[in-house]
Amino acid sequence: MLNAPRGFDPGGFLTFDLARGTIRTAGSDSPALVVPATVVAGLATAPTSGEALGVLARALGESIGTALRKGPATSGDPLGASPEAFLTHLNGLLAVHGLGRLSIETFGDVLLVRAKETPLGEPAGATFLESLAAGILGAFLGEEVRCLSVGDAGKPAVLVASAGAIDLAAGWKRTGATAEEIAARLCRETRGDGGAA
Amino acid sequence: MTPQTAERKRKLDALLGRIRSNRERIGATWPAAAQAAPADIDSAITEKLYEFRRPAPATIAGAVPAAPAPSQPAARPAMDRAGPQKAAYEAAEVFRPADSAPPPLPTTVVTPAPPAAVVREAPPASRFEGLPPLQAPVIRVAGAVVPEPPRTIGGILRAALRVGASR
Repeated sequence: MLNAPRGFDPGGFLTFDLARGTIRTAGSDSPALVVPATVVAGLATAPTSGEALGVLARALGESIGTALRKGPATSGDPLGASPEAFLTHLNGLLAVHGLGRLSIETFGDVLLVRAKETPLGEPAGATFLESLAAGILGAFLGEEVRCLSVGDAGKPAVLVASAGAIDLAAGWKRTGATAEEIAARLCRETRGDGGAA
Repeated sequence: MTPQTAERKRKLDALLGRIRSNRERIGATWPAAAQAAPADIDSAITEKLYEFRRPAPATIAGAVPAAPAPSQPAARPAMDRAGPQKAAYEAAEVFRPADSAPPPLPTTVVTPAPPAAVVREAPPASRFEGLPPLQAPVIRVAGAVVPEPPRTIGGILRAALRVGASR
């Protein structure tokens, strides 16, 4: 007796852990990502292969930041949304892409973006997170945003600040300063600069 | 034994008699028969004759019924009574029941599941608010005293971008 043809059963192939923002595929321990095809196509414009990861992460971040700006949480006035609403929906979008979770910390006006469950380990993880955050926040604000990876492998984080402050922080980072030390020092030394700080 | 059966047996016996008388001719076309005992040959021929007159299996449309004996209408095979022989020959060309479904096309075997089944594990975007596992966002203010902490995400981000802007 011939067996009846059976279709492909996708059950269990993809596992979305929305609490942690991770995606797993069956039979693999490596985190998976959901990446729009246009983002992958954008790799063709990367000047060098070493910069391809940053190009991909920034484009992916811009895709998420644009969606966030147009999303239901920020209807009408995206920049007027509360930080809680912003992060709730940002983390929802990050979760379905397998990008982990983000939270923010402020030291005065200095802003640190913390990451958990990042899909890539070091050293690629720092570059990826730095470009991803810059893409998300830049697209959300509608202007160029500079970020600097200041965390370590156990506590990934990026600093969000002006270009001058980023250059300053990069020097402190090379001396081995932690993310908290950089943020607090930047807060002290730039007080009175620019706006409210 | 009914009169019809007796008559049939008599005709078969007569037929067997004629076959026995031509045993040498049978042996010319069936070499094994020349070595077989006469009783075995009679048994084999009788079996073939009954098999020849047995109604063809109904599931094989191509079986050609035996020619009916005019004097024995009750012994005709069922296939012969079912319809004209022309129909049976037409059906023989396909060797399957005429009303059977055509064989499945290969495309039905390899057609993948519809896309909806692939994404069924991903919740729709509109459910982001209702996801209980999502933790409350963390906003922590530390370090220097902030006179008027920004309360909107736009205010927080724009203030951060002004840090060190004059340097």
